[in-house]
Amino acid sequence: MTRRILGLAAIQFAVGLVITELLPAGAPSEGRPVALVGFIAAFALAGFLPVHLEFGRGSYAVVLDEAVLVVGLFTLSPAALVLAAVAGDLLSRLVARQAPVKAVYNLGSWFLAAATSTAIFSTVGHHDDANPVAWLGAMLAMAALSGVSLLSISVVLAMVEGRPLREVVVDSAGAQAAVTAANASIGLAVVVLLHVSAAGPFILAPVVGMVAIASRRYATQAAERLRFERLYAAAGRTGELAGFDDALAVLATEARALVTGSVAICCATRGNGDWVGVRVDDMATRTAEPQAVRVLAGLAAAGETRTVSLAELPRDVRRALPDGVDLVVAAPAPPARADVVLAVFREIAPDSQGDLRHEVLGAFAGHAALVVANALLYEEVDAALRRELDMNRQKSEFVAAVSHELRTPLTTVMGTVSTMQRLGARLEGPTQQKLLDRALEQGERLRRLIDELLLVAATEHSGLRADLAPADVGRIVEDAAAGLPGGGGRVQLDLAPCAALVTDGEKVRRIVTNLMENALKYAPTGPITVDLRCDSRYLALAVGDHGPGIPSADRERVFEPFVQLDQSSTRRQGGTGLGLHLCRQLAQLLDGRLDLDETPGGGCRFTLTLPVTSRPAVPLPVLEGAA
Amino acid sequence: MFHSKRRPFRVLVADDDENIRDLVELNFMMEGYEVLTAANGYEAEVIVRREQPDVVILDIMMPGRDGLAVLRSMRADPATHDIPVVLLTAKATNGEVLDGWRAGAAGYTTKPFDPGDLIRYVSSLLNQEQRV
Repeated sequence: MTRRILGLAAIQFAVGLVITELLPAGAPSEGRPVALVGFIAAFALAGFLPVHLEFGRGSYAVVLDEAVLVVGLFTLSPAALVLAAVAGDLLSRLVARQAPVKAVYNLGSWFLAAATSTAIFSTVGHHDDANPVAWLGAMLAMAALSGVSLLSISVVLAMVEGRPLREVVVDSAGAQAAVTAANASIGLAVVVLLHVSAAGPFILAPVVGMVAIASRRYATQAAERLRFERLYAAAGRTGELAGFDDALAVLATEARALVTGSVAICCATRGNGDWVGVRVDDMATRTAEPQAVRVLAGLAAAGETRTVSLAELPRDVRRALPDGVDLVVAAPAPPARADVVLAVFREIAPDSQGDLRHEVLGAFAGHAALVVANALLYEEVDAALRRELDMNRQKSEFVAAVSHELRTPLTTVMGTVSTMQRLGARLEGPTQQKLLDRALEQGERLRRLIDELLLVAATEHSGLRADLAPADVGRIVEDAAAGLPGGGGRVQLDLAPCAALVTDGEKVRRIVTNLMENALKYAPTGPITVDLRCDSRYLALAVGDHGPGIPSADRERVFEPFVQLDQSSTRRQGGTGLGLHLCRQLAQLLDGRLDLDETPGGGCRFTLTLPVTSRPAVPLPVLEGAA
Repeated sequence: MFHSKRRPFRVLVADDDENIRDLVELNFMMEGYEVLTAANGYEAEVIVRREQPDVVILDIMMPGRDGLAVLRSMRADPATHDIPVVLLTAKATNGEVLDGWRAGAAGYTTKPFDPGDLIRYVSSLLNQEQRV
């Protein structure tokens, strides 16, 4: 972009030089160096003190250099006038420290316009300051100047803003014409007054001075108002309820527009100190590189807005950041509601107007903190609502499952009784016996289900308390194994000596028994191993089998109520579907945990971990795959 | 009784609970029906298509393919379209009853149920069909 702008400027200089070469040498006041220096000073002064005017919906800086040019047409030789115009303009831009690219382009534009208008005035041929034909010639010259300026500025605007040239020309033509007309009138008035007396133009001084002062104040106010309007508009557009990432994207987009940068990054923390960022440029919105976010978080200072020249940054720091000339970085003043850093990168260094935009970004940073805090709150509430809905859904699913699980054995019991009533005498003895056995078995299943449901309900509603007392877990395991059907012939105990533990022995026994029964049921052959290990903080009891095992995708599901991985076999094994769920709840009641370990070799291995004191001072180790 | 000289009615009992299946089977057998059984939805579908039973007793909550899905696929197939289906279910919510009727069930029984009632209902259903 910069290269293309400079190319256009070069074309303007070239054309301007050609026109200057063609200018006639003869002039009204040849060889008056004092006049030349005076005009250079006048051009510089005019350029340095623009008069700000509002025209339509835009505000314009009217530079009186065109009026000076009109006076010059009647006073200096054409070549001297062009020289004075360019030198004065250059001087004013140097003093104003305008951005180089902008200064070069505008200088070229002014050079071309001044040369064109001077050439036209020379062609008309009348230089007499009292001659109306000469005035007309000056008017024509100014019209040409206006046209050249309009075209030159429009071309570059269309290029930078990506709008069609025609549209830009139409947009700015009116203002440009008005400015030139005003300048021409002022210039001609000065020329006429000079004709009357050398001191004549001074009667215009009070008017020009007043307009200059008033317009300057007005311009400041207008710029201020514009900044506030943009800030309000930006704040309004970020008012939507959004999640964290969306909020960062919207904030970056607005920050980029406020400072007129090429890339903007909005960084924030979720309140945990980890910075993340969203990057917005012309093309896309995406997650910012972590290095860039780290650098920006380091560059920002709370409550400050600073402009950092990218060239001044160390090479490796610069490499982490997007390209550009400088960056404006702002962070909200403490106490901010959230940690936020706004950074906008610019490809073209700003002029004095651009510097005022820093303040806007600083003000916007405070608002951004609020937006991020709201986004975090919104996510929190949203997550809580989701959890609540999920819990409700789980509850109604549980109720439906309970209904199903209770009705199924009851159907067998009641169905058997009514069948016996209806057909009893017609059934053979063994059939009757089988029916009755099954009814009894299902009645027993129903009883166990009710027991376990009550326990589950009690643990869930904190109605169940752990009866804490010193307990010898090794002894509990031995007793439980001995109490198994068949005396636990397949169970192999490997119990390390552990000191007595303050826990609820009855609940430990229940968990251990359930785990061993499960192992015996689901692993019809092979040994059932029970290992007890302990250190100063934890006691771990593992029950392993060599059965078919459980796919690792289902390792957590087995702890959910009524999950039957292989329904037909569960029913046949007489499981209630609540055993493991209840065991885990009981383990949690004892401040411990129950997990299904990863067993690559096959089989299942459940581990019960209990703290050595009932209330652990340190959290339990997080085992992989555990909820 | 209702079947004088023709072949006995054939009933398919589909339920994943073995006890209930056996109980229903026993009751229908004692009434002179020929009984087919299925332990899940897929099995039920295969048997219905192959054996063309006179009536199907279908449990809704079965692992894999549930009873409602089986019923819908039966209704979509012209070969099994007209076979009456009595649904059995352990959870009786209004929505489910409605789903059952919409899918084209001939009857609906909630567990626990009396096998005698079920047989009386099925026999009246079959006699009606025969008269029509």
